[in-house]
Amino acid sequence: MSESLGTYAYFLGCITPNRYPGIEAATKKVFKEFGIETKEMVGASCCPAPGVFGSFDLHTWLPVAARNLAIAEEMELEIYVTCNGCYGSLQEADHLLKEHPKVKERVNKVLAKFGREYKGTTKVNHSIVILHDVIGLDRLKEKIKKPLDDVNVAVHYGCHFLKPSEVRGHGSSETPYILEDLIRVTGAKDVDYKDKLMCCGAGGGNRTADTLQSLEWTRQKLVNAIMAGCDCMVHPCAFCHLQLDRGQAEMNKAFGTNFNFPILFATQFIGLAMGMSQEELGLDIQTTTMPEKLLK
Amino acid sequence: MIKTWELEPNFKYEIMKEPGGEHLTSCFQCSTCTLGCPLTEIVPGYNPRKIIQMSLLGMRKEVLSNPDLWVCLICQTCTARCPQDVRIADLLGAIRRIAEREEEAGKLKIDSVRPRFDKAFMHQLEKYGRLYDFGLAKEYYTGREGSFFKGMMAMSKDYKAFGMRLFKKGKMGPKALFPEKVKDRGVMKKIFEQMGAGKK
Repeated sequence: MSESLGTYAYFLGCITPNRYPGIEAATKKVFKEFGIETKEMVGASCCPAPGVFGSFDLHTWLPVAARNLAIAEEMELEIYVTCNGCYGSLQEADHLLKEHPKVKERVNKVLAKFGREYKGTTKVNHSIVILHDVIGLDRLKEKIKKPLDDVNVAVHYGCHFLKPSEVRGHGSSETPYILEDLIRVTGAKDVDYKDKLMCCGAGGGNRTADTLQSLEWTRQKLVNAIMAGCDCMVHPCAFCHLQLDRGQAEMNKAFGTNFNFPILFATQFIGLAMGMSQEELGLDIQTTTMPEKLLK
Repeated sequence: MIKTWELEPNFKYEIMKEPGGEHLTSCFQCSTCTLGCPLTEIVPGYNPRKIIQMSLLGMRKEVLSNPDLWVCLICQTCTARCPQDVRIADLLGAIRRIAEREEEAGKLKIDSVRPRFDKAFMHQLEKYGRLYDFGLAKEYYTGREGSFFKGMMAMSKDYKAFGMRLFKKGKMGPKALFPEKVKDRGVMKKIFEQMGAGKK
């Protein structure tokens, strides 16, 4: 065990515990290797979902998000998330409340009814930003036991990780670099493919409400990655994981295709390179199967 | 042909009052949003620029009943690229909110099932604080198909094979049938009531 790099509150969200517990397991295990401690946020609710909820009823969305932030503030910890949706919601709510004192006052009036207060002392981090900035590429490199040298990776960012760029603060949303850096550390190659920054197709409730449109979107994304010669897709979002992984079974049913393109969450990919087994990372219980190349 | 006497020029101010719609009048119709939109390849004719221009002109009825309002995935490519900071993804959200209120008031009929899904999702949060898959599916399918029985038939058609596979892999036990509740979930109800969004 290396030196301690601090303690964070883990905001689980909905998709991770409900559908892909492997993402939680992988993230916690990888972080533990680097001395980052995780505390659970007791009583945390849904983030709430930015598309389904936020674009629908912003007035109710904000206090729910503020309550989640207040829980982390009471723990006196910074938050990390494993889903772009949670990242989007919590960070945007945090940004809104910090920018507009009047809105903050109104939200705090609601929170006061059950004895909570939003102060603005916490920060919302994405798990891959912690990997990149807090742990750092040098420390990561030391722990890579099984370099994934001949693996070609398609990077998928998801929308809410990058946009709106002035809130996110990861530079321009057209030229992201964080995931690429993490991929290169493992020895794998990040491959450019057509429409790399395209959405996974699940956003805004479309996955359920307009299934064929959303699946066609995912199909194009995967075909572009496969055509570029990629072996797998790595992404930082639990909701994209649901659409890209589970969506392949749905596509095979709807379009009669035969997709089995491996989808990995960023920490699952790094976990593999650090020598963890696919059972430890929960990769054996998802729809797509991992190729020998990744497991060796 | 547009008949000017049928337009509602105050529509733009109605949108600008909604959170997210504030920058509507900054649009100078450059069409960057539409040219960069990945959805235009999948839904032919999808054109956010046109929705904005129609809103500015005051074509209230045409905008609110436009089915294209409900296909946006909020990927925010348009928002990121807009030279005038119109924040198109948020703006469409603002228009959707107005359309939704119109439907609740019985003045408009929305064909898309998306508002139904959104509402069902919010009810789960109100009740349990977190997403409860079965509750969401039950409410959404019942609403979509018109009756509980028809809804359950449609749901089993969509998810039976998947559910069995999950069960066999040990991913879903009997526990998954019951909601996982947030510890002090009474507060969720309070928030919803405070903001006037409680289940009617």
